[in-house]
Amino acid sequence: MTDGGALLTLKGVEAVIHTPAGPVHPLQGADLEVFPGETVGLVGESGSGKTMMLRAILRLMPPGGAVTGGTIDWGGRSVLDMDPDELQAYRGADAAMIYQNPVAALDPMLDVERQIVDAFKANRGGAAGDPGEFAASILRELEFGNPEVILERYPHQLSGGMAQRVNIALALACSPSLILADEPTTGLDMTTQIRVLDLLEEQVSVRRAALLFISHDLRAVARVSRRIGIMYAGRVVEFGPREQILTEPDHPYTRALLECVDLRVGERPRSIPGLVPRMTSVHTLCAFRERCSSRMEVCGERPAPEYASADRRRVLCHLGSGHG
Amino acid sequence: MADTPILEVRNLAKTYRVRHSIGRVETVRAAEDVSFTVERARTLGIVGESGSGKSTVARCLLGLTRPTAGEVLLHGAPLVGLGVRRMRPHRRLLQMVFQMPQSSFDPTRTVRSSVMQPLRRLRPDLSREQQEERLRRVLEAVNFGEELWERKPPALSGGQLQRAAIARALAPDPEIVVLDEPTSSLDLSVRGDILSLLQGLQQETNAAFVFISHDLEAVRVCADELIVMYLGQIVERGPASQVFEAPAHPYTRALVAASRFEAGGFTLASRGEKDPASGCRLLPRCPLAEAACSDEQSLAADGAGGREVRCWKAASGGSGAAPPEGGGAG
Repeated sequence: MTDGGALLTLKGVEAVIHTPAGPVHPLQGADLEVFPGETVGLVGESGSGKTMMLRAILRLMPPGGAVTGGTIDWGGRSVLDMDPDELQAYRGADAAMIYQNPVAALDPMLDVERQIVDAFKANRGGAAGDPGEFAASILRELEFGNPEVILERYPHQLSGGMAQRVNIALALACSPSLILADEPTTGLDMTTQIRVLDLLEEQVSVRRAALLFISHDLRAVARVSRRIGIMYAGRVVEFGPREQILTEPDHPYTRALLECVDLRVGERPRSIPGLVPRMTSVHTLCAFRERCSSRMEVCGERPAPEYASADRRRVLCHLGSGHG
Repeated sequence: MADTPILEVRNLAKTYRVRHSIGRVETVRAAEDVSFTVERARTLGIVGESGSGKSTVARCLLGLTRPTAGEVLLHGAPLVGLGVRRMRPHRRLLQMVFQMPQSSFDPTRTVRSSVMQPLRRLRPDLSREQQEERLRRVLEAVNFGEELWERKPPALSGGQLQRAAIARALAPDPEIVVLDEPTSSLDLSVRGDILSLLQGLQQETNAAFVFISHDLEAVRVCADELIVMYLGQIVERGPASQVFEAPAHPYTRALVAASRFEAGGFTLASRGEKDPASGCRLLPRCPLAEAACSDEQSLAADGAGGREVRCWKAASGGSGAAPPEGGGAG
């Protein structure tokens, strides 16, 4: 495979979280590659493991959780083997995260300026430039008309859309090569969502950073991502260029998701029958087969094979790929 | 049978006084001059972003919030100002489904017990057997499997619980069900399940629905009539299909464009620190704004076919009716 140029490569990543009710396996062999400067979106229902994927990439697993298998490679270095100092340098400066709840992600005790300046200093060791001016300029790039006023504000004095733009500023402050975004616009109003998504895409592209964007909303993912991965039960079951995933999906789950998004007046709204499988056990066979309308006998007998085709397209399904 | 409205809302207004610091009190107009009717077996959609006043209107309908001015008439009888006791007979006719199913159920009760509660309270006219019978009917109507009846909310998925919430609302046999963002907290894969369930239930029960959501796609498949709200005011109304196909108000245009997630659609500037006190409240955000927009006199514009648009530019043609979508690339 073309590992040479990838910024981030996950292979067969497995994770376990120990809970009082027993172990949960949120990642069950997840594969993903992100190349420099590209935008990748991951879609999945709640419980599909997409948030754990981002946490595993930054090694920020929740209490009781650990990555137990597979490899996470960052430009030739193994993220899972980094020592605390390396990890500290990697988080923020190499890969920075934007969280789902923008207000909660900010420190309520500090004003915006202090938070941006701290992030800037922590990762650049007080390099060139005046931190205050830097903070104002980055806010201006994020379309704040009056950065001086915003810099003095505390998180509770910001609207959701403003707070999320401040979070984007924080993530960009350390000039990372990869931005990880966990449902960054989910709680926001529609019109605000669109603005924040556009701004995020624009800033990532201007800085030639890569973006790994996850959401349960395929529409938001399709708006910002050139490549789309579909997650189900802890694995990426289909991956490929946006246009191909949206128009000629291979995996029955992807097809079903697309039908759910596309509501049409006068037609029965579509849904996917059944429930997302419990992640308390490890699925060796296709975890979607119980809900799958194309289910075959072989699905209950052998694990779904991976079919890869041109343009880094791949699918995990016995049906295979209709694309070579 | 002549279709007289079940519910009529006339010039409803709700203002809140927000105390910021000592001496500084701000008046927030959460709803202003809101009027509409709700008819049997029809669905009224109310769309708008957070702060548009749609939930305030819903709360006023149900008597959960007392409006500052205006009337709510149920079969001609005024509801505003009724106490808990005098509201109770009407409560049976007016039910609600909330956005977050997890927080709208008592986590310590079984679903069966939660759905039974409104039957016991609001339908004392039914015998125990009839109540049991009705419980079974509504839970079956929402496809809530009997194996789940004795479960408590934490042991159910969001979609399952929302179906139970719909059953609970329908249990006392209401004439109007207010649905406040019924699909917003659910995965897209179950959204269609809830929407088609609602469509089927409406045909069966002939209940009227008030469907409040910021998810325009969901409202689009359900609503017959549509109201678009911005900062407490109705800015556009009309038959839902027409409003969606040819949104006239710039705010509606922006909402419709945003709901498609497509690049290059009609967009508004972000909301500033202060909203205008008079004239068009969208003015600071609107790309079509002109000086005349700050004049209260120039606002009203009646379109054809039962459509109303609170924008004088929409009626003057040109920038109005058909939005030139998909202009820019990237």
